[in-house]
Amino acid sequence: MKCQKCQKQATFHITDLTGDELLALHLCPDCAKGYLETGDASEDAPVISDVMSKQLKPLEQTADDLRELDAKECPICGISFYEFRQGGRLGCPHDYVFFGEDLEPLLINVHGDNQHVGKQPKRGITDTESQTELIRLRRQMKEVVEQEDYEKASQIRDQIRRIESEGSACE
Amino acid sequence: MNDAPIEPNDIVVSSRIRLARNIADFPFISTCSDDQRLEIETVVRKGLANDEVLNNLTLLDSFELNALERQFLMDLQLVSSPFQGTTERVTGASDSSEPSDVVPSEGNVSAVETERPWEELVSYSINEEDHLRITVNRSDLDLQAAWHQISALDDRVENQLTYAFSQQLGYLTACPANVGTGMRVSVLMHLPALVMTGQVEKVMRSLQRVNVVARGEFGESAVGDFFRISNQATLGVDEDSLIEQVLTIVPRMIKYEREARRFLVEQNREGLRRDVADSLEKLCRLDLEDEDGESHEQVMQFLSKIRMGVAMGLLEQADADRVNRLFALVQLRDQLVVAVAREDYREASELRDRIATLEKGGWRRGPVDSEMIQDEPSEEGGSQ
Repeated sequence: MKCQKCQKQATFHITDLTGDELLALHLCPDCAKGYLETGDASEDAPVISDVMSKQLKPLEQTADDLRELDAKECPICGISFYEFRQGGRLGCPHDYVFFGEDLEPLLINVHGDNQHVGKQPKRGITDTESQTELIRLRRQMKEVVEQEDYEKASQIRDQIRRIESEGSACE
Repeated sequence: MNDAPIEPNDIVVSSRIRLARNIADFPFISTCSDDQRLEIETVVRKGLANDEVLNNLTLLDSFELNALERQFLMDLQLVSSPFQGTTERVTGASDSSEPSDVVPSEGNVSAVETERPWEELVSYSINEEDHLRITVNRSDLDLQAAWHQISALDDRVENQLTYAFSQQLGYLTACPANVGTGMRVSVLMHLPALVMTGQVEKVMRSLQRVNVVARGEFGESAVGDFFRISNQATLGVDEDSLIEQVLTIVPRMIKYEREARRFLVEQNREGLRRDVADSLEKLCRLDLEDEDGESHEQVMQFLSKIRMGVAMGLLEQADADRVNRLFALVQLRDQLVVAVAREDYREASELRDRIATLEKGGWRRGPVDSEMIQDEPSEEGGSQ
């Protein structure tokens, strides 16, 4: 593959998020360096090159490895990494945990950071586990309803209600 | 950055802050079933209704607004300085009519605060890319005030709903590009001279170095030369610093645009004047009721030139008056759309009559720069 900016061989394959769009770039080492360095001041350059090698790894590996990463599916919402790469949108909050390692290079590339600073919810941090559980249970309930297994569905519904009432009791 | 705050002017149109929020116990929109979307909408609406401030909102379903209506809503952005101060005088509008307060929304439902002038308008969009997006618009660049306002509203929503938030990644959003603060700070700028002199891409590229991005406002090709300058990163930088990042850029952009305008005038003042007058003439001949996609782009291009021409003092007084009448008409139509959406038919009928009066007054005809007509053969005069 040729570099998109010059005629040299493209060896860097970068997935960038510009604003809300996912952008796939195929660049030669020189152009890639230039591209990544415009993203930030030079003091961040070592970090970026480090990130780059991490981020590029999957793409430089065999097609099988890539396929494996793409096939990874979030147990909560069911979205695959391939679907995320295609659409640029995650399926549920838990994806940030489930695809955590796979997303990190991307986050660093876009934000230059991977630790939130700034505003936090005033009520304190919520129990994400029970929230995630709710998403999973609702999905499961829908599946069993589709199979007309209403006995199972009513069990799941009660479970959901229990978690929901626990949540509101704390407030 | 202790310079005096920049007032809105012919280059800075408006500013805004948008917060992206999601409810913790639902999947993001892309994996939601229709039922779940409906449930999210219900939950959010219920949350807003439970709050004494938030319940004071008019809910508009943007699917109910057809393309034409949405266009009028978008035009609101144009009815800003430098024309705004003069429209009331020109139309002789009654004092009782408040400016309308609605923003366009691509999403499902927008709740709009109705008590403020539209420039300082707040909107909540439900089920766009994220479950909830809160937007505060300002006609000036006081983004600190916008931040205090939006943060207080955000607190109120948070009292009603549980947001998806993680200690490490902040507010969790459907797109990883918004995670962290979930905040997009932006300034809308009108940069026709940078476009005309072919420098706009170079300027935009240089912005990347300071973590700021610029995008065309009305479609990818920056229809009408409007650009939105916003922060690139949302994670690892706090809200105050994000505002600072964007504000730092604005004086530089103004300077570049001013230089480009000066250059254009020095090069060919008469040509530029004719170009602007020509845009006005063509716009007046267009049937504004017939707004398909193509003619919309044309309209925007004409409006852009005219806006620049007014700012640079290139129009004759008579033409400037016509421009004011034109924008007054656009504004009245916007208000009509809002009145109908609110089911306020008393106001709607009033607006309809005012529009009719203005149309009958012949804003299109107006006193015309006769010299210009002679210079430019009319379109009906044949193609060659």
